[in-house]
Order: sequence, then C-alpha cells, then structure tokens
Amino acid sequence: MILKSKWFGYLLMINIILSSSIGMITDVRAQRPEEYLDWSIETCKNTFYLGEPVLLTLNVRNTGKQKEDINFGAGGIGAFSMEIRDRSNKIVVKGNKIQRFGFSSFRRTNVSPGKIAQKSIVLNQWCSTLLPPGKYRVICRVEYRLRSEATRIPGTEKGFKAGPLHAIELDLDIQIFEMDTSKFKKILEDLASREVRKDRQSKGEWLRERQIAREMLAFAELPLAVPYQLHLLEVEHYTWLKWDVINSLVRSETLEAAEGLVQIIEDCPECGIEDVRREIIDAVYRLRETGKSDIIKATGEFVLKYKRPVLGKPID
Amino acid sequence: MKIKSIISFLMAYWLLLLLSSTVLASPCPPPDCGDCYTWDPNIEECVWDCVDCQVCEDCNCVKDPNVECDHDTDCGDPNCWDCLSCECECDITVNSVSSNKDVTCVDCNVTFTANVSGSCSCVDWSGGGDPCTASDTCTFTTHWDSPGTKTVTATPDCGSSKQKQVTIAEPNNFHQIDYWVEDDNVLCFSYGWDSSTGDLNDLSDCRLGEKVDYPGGNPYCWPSPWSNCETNPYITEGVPTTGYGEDRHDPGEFVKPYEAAAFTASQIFRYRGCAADSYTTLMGPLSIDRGVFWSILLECWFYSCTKSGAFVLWSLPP
Repeated sequence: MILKSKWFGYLLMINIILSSSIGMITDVRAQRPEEYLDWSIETCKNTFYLGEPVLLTLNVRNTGKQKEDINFGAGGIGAFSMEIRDRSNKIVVKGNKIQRFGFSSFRRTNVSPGKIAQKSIVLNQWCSTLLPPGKYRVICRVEYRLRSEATRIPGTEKGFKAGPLHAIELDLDIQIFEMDTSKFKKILEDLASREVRKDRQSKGEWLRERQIAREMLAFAELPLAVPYQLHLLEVEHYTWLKWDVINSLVRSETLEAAEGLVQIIEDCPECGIEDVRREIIDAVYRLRETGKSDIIKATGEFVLKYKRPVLGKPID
Repeated sequence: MKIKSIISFLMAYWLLLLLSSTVLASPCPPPDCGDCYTWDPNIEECVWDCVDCQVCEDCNCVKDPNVECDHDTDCGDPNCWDCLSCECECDITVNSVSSNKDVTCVDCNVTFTANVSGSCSCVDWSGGGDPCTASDTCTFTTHWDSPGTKTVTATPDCGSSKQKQVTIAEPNNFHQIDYWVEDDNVLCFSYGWDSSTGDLNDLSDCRLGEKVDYPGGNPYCWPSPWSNCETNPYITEGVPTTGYGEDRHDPGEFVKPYEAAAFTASQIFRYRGCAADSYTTLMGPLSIDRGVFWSILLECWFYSCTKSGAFVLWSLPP
C-alpha cells in the first residue's frame, strides 16, 4: 500500500513537472514580441536649437525568456520612419523609411532576457529640425523583425524565410529654440572633440561615441557645420555616411562647401574618397545650380576640368 | 813633457769622440726618451706618447681635466660623442620610443618618436616596414602590408637602443552566416568576420566593403523591362569593427510590357587599410544573376535573383 502511494506520488510529481514545462514552452511560443519587448525612446535633453542634430536613443527591454536578435532592416536603420508634429498635432515634417541596398556593416541589436539594448539614431536623418521655435512631438515608427521568428527554408543549411514585421510607434516631446550661434558652435566643437579618445575610455566605447558624434555632425543643418562636414569626408570610412555628408554640404548652399569640395578633389589624393569621388564632383555641380554668383565664380575652372558624372541609383 | 801630455790628452779625446760616434751610428736600441715619450725611428725623434689632452703623471699618461680632447681625432661625430673629460663619452641616450598608435590596419602609417637626451642626428631606425629604415631623426613614419606584431628599433650612434611594438590588424575569416528573403522580394545575406588580433575594435583603421561590376559601361542601365541605372562599378565601404554586415539585392524597377531579360553582376567583398587602391579580396567573385522570364506552365512573368545558391522567385504583377 505504502509502495503504491509512493509510486503514485512519483507519477504525480512527474506529471506536474511535465505539465509546467509544456506550459512554459507554450507560454514562450504564444507570447507576442509586444508582450515581452518594452520599447521607449529618449533624448539626453528636451530643448534644441533649430538645425541642431537630435540624438534619439531607443531602449528595448527584454522581459521574455529568450535572447532576441532584432533586425532593424537595411543598414540597421531601414526599419525607422519619423514625423514631427506641432502643438495642434499637424505633421510639419515627415521622413519616410531610408532604403539602403547593397552591402553595409552595422552592429546587430541583441538583447538578452532581463536586459536592455540601446540603439542611437539621429532624428535629422529623417526630419529637418529647421523649424520655427516652439514645442513639437516626434513620432518614431519602427517596423522590425525578430531573428527568432525566421523559419528555415526546407532543404537549405543557411536559408530562412524572414519572420513577420512588427510595428511599434513611440513619441517624445522636444522644444526648438532660436539659433544661438555661440552655443551652436560650442555644440559642434564638443562633437568634433570626440575624435580624440579620452583618458581611461575603452577603445570600443570611444569608437561608438565617435561614430555617433560623426553622424550628428553629418546631419547638422546649419552652415556652421560645413567645416566639420568637410573634415568628415576625409576621415569617415562609411560610404553611406559620406553620401549623407555630401548632401548636407549641398543643402548648405555655401561658398565654403563648394570650395572645400573642390579642394578635396584637387588637393587631397590620399583622402581615401575614391568611393565618393563621383558624388563629390556632382555635388559641386549641384551647388552651382543654386545660381549663387560666388559659388559659380569659384567653381568655374573646376567644371572645365571635371565633367559632370552620371550617377546611378544604388540597388546592388 | 808638457807638450807630450797635451798630445796624449788630445788623442784620448779624439779616440773617445770616435768611439761615441761609432756607437750612435750602429743599429743599437733606441735611446730612453723619458716618461710618456717614445722614440719615433722615422723621424728619429722622441715623441709624446699620450693623446693631446693627457699629461704625464707618475710615468703614465693620464687625462688632463683642464684640456678638451679633439673630436675629430679622438672621437666620432661631435653631435653624438662628448670628450670633455678627455675621454670619448657617448653624448646621446634614447630614453624611450613611443608611437602615435598601438594598433592599426595594414598600409596605415604609424609615427614613432624617440625621446632622446642629445641630438636627433645620432638616431637611426629599423623596423621592416615601408620604409624599412631611417637615419638621423627622432621621428620615423612607416607602415606594413602584412598583419602581426611589428617591432621598431631606435638605435643611437653610441649607447643602447630602444624598441616599440605595434600591432597590425586585418579582417579575416569572412563568411556568409545565412540568407533570407523579405516580403518585398529582396534577397538578403548576412556576413560575419573576425579580426586577426581577436579584437574587432583593432580594425577601426580598416575599411571593408563590396565592389560590384556590371556587364557594361558607367552608368549601367539594366536591360528592359527594368528601368533603373546603376553606378558601375558600384563601390561601398564601411568600418569592419562591427564584425557583421548585410547585403541586400533589390528586384529593381520594372516597366511594362515585360520581356525576357537577364544579366549577371560580379561581386567581391574586400578590405583595405589606408592605401587608396590596395585591396585584399575576402570573398568572391560571386555571380549575382537577375532575370525576367515567362513561365509557360503558370502563364505569368517571373523575376528571379540568385547568388551563392540562394534565390528569390517573384511572380510579377500583371
């Protein structure tokens, strides 16, 4: 009798363990990412000068039970689209998804259970902050995929069918102030100073901070940023970011940008700009299209020497 | 008697004189010139046997603290040698060697600086890079075209040398991780790689990217029914410190009516250091085959893209 009740006890225990395990598995599989990934977005300050680059930090907390590899699309930024709305909720600027084809290297966003992953993006890459002073709301939409939801293509070793797209919408308030030249200059100088590694700063931390600073300088929207952007063309390694810098320089419509681009082509054979050489020459022509007499005069000899290149649309 | 004595005295004198002249003319031992002098048979004179700045003391040559020695005759280059105490003393010390970088990529310059007490014209450099050596300078800039630990040595004309080691890194183990197809019929590949040093941050001076050659001029316009044109060759680069990258192949843009077409692009993944045109291929060439064809069975037009055994097949909208 005692033996029988002992066996019964064992069986009951096994049953409980198995049931709870199956329950756990079912629980994990049934959970949707919205339930175990907590998203938030923040900036290190709420007030910005017009044209100032706004760094957004995306936080993803994993409250689930498995590690997640979040795919943010092409170049690690293809998942994002942005809007800036005014106080009456009217859209004042809209930035669609950025499409990047071909090859790009970027950091994967992995988040372990109980941990928070962070991703930094510059709002101005999507939306200009050259706005009338006032209060605004930034809407950030993210359409991401999870590697864990990808399904293997039968008969292949490395082939997957991408998992479904998940969409979230995040928002935060910012305030735009009138330009203060001296303070804006200080902001730019501070960003440029991150080229130099600080004492006791790890190399990895420095490289990440430097890259964020370079992206912020690349998308700064006032002529004050032109000298820093010209310098970026010489030191930056990412072709895509160099293309962005070139576009910022063209948008500045300044003589300084035109002269700087001419100088890079003519006097800097070791600047390592071979991947964007055609785009730089084209940018000089685009600056001439502003019709500004000083730019046309300063680039007259250049256009006689360099024919305008025909540029394709990158698809790869 | 008196005359006789005078004559015998004179004879003895002349005899003595004769004897002494005979002795001097014969190959006899040199005369004793005295302390610190020696007999020079060429000039048949006693000469000073010490260096110019020495004095004779207790029968020995000793340095004269009040007299400087002569650089030209006693020591070497006056910039490197000192002889203030009448002895050739090394006047250059390499205290240490530093470099502007501890780690860099292949083909990227590293500048070494010697901290010296003395003149920089006394320092020579060696290290096996390009350039391999340098002379008479306190700074030395060089680069290497292969990865590994490199040692640069600063050697003074006199005294001991000092060394500095730097690490030259390169990306390696470039490999495809997986591939997938997204909803918009984009064929995507992920790739990974390592650093030869084991630390991806060491690749911050390297550039890694792709080069895609299309079968035509620049720009290359994809054949009809596609409507897009592309810069040829298509080149992008990035920083390999991420150890990860993705490659996306878009279907392109189509114009109707559809027609059968196909073309192949050739892709390589490569890296470089600081030299503008010195690339090392990591993978490839890989063929990217795109086509548009009519399926008799399904009676519709298809777009296909294949690379590395992976493919996407898309039924084009009617």
